[in-house]
Amino acid sequence: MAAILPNYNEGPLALGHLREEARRLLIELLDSRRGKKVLVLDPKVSGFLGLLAEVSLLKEHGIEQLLHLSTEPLGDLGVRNVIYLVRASIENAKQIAEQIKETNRVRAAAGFEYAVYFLPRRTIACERIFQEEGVYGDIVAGEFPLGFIPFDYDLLSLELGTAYRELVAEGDRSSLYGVARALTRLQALYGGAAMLKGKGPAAAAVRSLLLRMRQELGPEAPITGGGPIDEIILLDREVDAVTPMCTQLTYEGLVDETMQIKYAVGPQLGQRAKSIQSDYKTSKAAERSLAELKEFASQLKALPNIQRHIGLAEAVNRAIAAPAFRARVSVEQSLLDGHGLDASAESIEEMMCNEEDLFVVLRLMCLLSLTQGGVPKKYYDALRKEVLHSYGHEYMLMLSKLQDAGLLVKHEGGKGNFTALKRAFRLLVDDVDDKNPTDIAYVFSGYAPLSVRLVEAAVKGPGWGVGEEVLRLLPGPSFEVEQTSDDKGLPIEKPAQDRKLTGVSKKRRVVVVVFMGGITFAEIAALRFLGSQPEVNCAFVIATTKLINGTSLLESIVDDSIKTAKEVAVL
Amino acid sequence: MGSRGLSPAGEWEACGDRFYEKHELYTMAWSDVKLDQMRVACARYGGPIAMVRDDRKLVVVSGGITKPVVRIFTAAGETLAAFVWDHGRVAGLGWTNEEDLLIVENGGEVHMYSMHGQKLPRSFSLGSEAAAERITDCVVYGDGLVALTGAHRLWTVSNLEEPRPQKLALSGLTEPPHCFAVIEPRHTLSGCVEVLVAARDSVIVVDADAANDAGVPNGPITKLSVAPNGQFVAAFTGEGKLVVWTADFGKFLSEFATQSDTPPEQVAWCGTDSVVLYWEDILLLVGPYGDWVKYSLEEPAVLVTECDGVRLISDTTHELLRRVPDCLADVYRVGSTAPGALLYDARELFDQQNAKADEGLRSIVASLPEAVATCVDAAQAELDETRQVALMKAACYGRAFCSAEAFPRDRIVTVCRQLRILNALRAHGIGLPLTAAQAEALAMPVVVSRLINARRHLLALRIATLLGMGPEKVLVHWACTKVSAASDVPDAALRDAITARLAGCPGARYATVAAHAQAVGRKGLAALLLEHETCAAEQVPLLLGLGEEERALGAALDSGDADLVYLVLFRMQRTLPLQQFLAVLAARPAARSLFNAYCAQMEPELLEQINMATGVYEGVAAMRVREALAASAKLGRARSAANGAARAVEPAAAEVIRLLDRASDLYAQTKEHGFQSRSAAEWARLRRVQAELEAETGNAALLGLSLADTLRQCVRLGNHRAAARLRADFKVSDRRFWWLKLKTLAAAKDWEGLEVFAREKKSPIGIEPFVAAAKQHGAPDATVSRIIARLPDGKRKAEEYAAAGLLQEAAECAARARDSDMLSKLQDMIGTVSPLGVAVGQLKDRLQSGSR
Repeated sequence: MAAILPNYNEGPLALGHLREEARRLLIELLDSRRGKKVLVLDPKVSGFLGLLAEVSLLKEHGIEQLLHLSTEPLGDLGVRNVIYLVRASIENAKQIAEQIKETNRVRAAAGFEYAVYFLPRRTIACERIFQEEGVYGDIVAGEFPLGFIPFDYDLLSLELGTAYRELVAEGDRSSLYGVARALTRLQALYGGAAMLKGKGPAAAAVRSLLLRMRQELGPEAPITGGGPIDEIILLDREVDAVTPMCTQLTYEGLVDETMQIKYAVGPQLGQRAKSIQSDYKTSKAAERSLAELKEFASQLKALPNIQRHIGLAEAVNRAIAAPAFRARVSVEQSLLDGHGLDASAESIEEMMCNEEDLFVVLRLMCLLSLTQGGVPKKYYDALRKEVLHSYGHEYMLMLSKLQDAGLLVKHEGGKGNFTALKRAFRLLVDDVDDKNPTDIAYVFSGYAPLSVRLVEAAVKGPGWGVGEEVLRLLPGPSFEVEQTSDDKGLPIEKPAQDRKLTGVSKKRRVVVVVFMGGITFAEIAALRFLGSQPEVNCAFVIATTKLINGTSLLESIVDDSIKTAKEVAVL
Repeated sequence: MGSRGLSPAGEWEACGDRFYEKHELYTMAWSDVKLDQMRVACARYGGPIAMVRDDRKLVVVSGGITKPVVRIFTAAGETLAAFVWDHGRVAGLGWTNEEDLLIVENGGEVHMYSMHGQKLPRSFSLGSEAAAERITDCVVYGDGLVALTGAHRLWTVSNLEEPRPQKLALSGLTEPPHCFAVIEPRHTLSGCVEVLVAARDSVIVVDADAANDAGVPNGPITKLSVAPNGQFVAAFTGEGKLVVWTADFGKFLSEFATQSDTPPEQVAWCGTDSVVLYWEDILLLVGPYGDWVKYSLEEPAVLVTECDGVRLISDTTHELLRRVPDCLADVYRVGSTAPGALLYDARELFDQQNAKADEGLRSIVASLPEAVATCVDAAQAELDETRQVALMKAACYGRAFCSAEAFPRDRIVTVCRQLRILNALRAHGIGLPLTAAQAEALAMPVVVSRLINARRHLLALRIATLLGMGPEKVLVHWACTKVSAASDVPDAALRDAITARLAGCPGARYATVAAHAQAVGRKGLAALLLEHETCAAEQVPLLLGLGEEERALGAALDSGDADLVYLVLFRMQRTLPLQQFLAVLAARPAARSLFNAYCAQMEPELLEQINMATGVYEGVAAMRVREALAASAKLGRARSAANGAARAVEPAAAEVIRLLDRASDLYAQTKEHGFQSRSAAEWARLRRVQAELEAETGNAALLGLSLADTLRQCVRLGNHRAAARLRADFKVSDRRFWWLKLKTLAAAKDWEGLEVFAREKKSPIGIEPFVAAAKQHGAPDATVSRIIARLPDGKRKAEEYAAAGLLQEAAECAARARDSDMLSKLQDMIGTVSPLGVAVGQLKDRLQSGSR
């Protein structure tokens, strides 16, 4: 966990307040149990807890020991109070119940007092599990109403890693409820946005939740317009599943792709990386020598952590110089271009033979499916069979899930929408200058992420900036409404009026872009680049359910039962 | 200075340099109350008074009723309720912050009543352990209670919303403590309740974790009382002394010898700096510096501590004993020449049309703002309305000569508004005798809530409107009360009456009213009202309560709140026959997926049943696959523990295969899952073959591997027969097999094997992968050279030789392939001086001359 947390107050919105609020809630929660205590965390919570509080703060508030959630009975902890801080999921509730039952069986004399705090709230399903398992009476249940966690001066995440899977493969929309709640809280803190735009089924669901929540608040709903937030754009990951499947070619993106940025490193990396990035583009960095980078870094001696960056850059460089990396990127490019389908399928097969990472292979297969309107029949079963043969039949459930999620499907005729989208949104840009980019396409070396093109169109306007027939190519409804209130002061929604675009240039608008289902570092870079363009004149605040890349997105779809089975196989 | 008009100073008692006044708040409206026979509980902040016959005292019971009656009055003695107590012996009673009455039975049951005597559903028990020991005494504080049992142990409930009895760490007492007092959680460092127990010769500080002797030397202590701010504790010692410490007993503050052997019946704080001791007919007030005042009492009284005084409730009157606030003392003290007093005098003279008024005003012109402030503050603190007017008039008189900066104009308006409210509250009919200080400590919104609770809706509404607070709370409560009272009004008419009032008020919660309607048995009305509710979290549980489950499910799904959906589903699962429940799920995919997620974890059998019944065979098949995964994981662990003793785990291995076969059959039921069906079957087959190969070779490292890894293992072990069998059994393509084998051989540095393999029949992937693999794994030059030699294309061969550093071979190949560019490149690499360089030069020349 980081020793000093950056304050994040110099962005378009002073996001530090959100963290202060979260810290305060956390401290209240810890103090609600007196004396020394043990904190049991589910691994997902322990990941981002470091962004809210330092270990020393936890110590100050009586935390003697941190444990990860498991079903093993608790040992001799030397304290009586046990606080669980977990996401409100059925699995977690079950594990807690198991652990308490086991502990009661093994060490009844220990007399532990259990408090369970659910994020972001206690749920009926979890309490029911406690009742069914007969531990309800042993537990004091509470909640930790955590909303968005600031990851950078312009970046917020809810850290809901399974949101995409739940939305597209399981039909569970509870994550959207969390998004709507967090957005309502955000608007309560910073003022409501006047405009609300969105595209995709999840966006439409969040829109109706937002209205509902405002109406439930009644006169206490945040006043819209006049606050710092001008507009909220809701985007469903389902609208653009292509982008995460591509290899990110920005510095942060590459670090993420090659070593998977974990919680605490990311934001600091972002801050430092920006200054480096402005002078030194590591995307396609193979041409640049490391000696140059080292020399460059020596000029920046004042910056802390620079040594770590050199290490990172070296590791990234090694990874991208490998032939496998080049092969992967070239398959991606030809799939995006839309030619050489057979060669791509063959390359993918070859990668499996070469024991390339499973998720790299799956990303390419999904990319193939998404860009070509499905995998042609002659490759569909063959490639899937090859996956099972190479990586184990354990993954058969995952392949079904990918099919359910619409990421890996059979070609059923037609060309798919991607070709039309490429044209409509100018997704492929030929001459990309990595050093002085003029278009967001630099983040994927010539491919402009569809998601960010949509945002670009929406902020340039009027309306969605593209024709209705183009929007119809993408899943789910699109909408543009005004959040306002009626003459009694009750919140309502109105169809957006045509704004005169003449006065726009004066004030730099603040636009909150919400990615439901996750956002990649490359897209963040593209949005930041977009915000820096004078003709756009927007400051973006990016909110998401989780920072992802294609691999972590696909990993979230893997069944837990497979994970355990594979772990054993490794033994 | 003569006596000021209206001055109360004559009734003040001096105590050191300060004054105390006893102000009669009310003449009690009750006439038949004998407080000395009663157990009495008075709510803080002038709240209601509850009493029940004290069965510890001998009383002549007249009349036929032998069961005790609980009676509830306002602070003015107006009857609010009376009901017969037909439970066990009362161990204690008290009021909560919300002004609900708690009555604790000695059997551990805690009963809750509203101030109107209605039994509330929130009653609870202190638990069997406490019940077995019997409750002997009990203290109720604002949001919790502490009970003492017959076994001299303490139990506490610190949250009445979710009562959870907790045993405190008091143990080892062999006789009952002399007394105990509670420090409320909001005053303790730990945030948990602490109890001061006077036992033996000392005081024990008890909380949930520990009981520490405070080491008080003055024991035994017979009375303990904690100040209303929780900072100090007053004790009456066996030596007849009143001693005050800080609440943690860390610091001794004062001591006062009362000269009395008998301990007082009551010890109570008067505000936070003086203590009142009560004997049968004497009241002794001891100030912070040992000064004292003695009052004699004509009838028994009950003392109630407030933040700025102490109330004395007797059979006929209700009085407030308090320290005279400084501002009042400044104005009214005999001989006071404070600016406020002079201003007051000037105003009196002005009213008498005496020209000296101006003179008086001039004399304090420099300190006029201060004088005005004193008079305003005094008016605010004053309880007598006539004097409030006089003080306000004086303030206005002085204010007229102050600049707007010197004294804020709106202060007077604010105070006038507050006084109007306080006077209205103090009126006998309402009976809420709050001082300005108390009202401030309590906060106005709370005052409004209390009025609502007391069903004083009109006054509450007016106060809320006057203070600019939302009227919704008042209106909603009014509506609820209306529903209870209007039992003969038809549903629609009552709904209209309620909506007419609530419509103008956007924040009003219809659900609250609907819940109430339902609770009093008017389900039809509740359903009507719920149509107006916008908040699903409020609406859904009520719809469930009304038995409108389908509507509740619809509302829950619309809200997008999975939690509400679960609430409805769990209820429906309980109440509906399974078939009907399944039909509901089938019609709503969103609900079904949520329920599936729950079932998958908690009730897999039910999920299977549902899936089979609805024809979702792939769902059942997936369950089988997961079971197979779990079983194989378990098997894997067992095998690594048994270290290869395969025999013991055979049945488990068979079980995995059986599950997979079953999954394959189930997948085959639908035509969309052919691939899954084949995959499951293939997997089962793979495991069978693996088991057989293990048995044949005696090597137990195959089961659980992927097909590719199994093949690799076979190649590594040189078991070509097995590899061939797998290749044939699972239709592994030639390309794939070649890749796999050459990579495995290279990784194992089996150079001989690699060369042999490269020489085998024509490779479907060419020779280049062989070269690449050999170089990657550091094969010796000779091996690399021989493999390169197998490349069909001369130019490529030359390049590969060059890349491998085999320059001579490269040059020869280049020459043979007539590749002069390659030769130039080689020349650059070698240089022209070395013999090889010269040779290459010659080759190049020859080539060029030949081509010319």
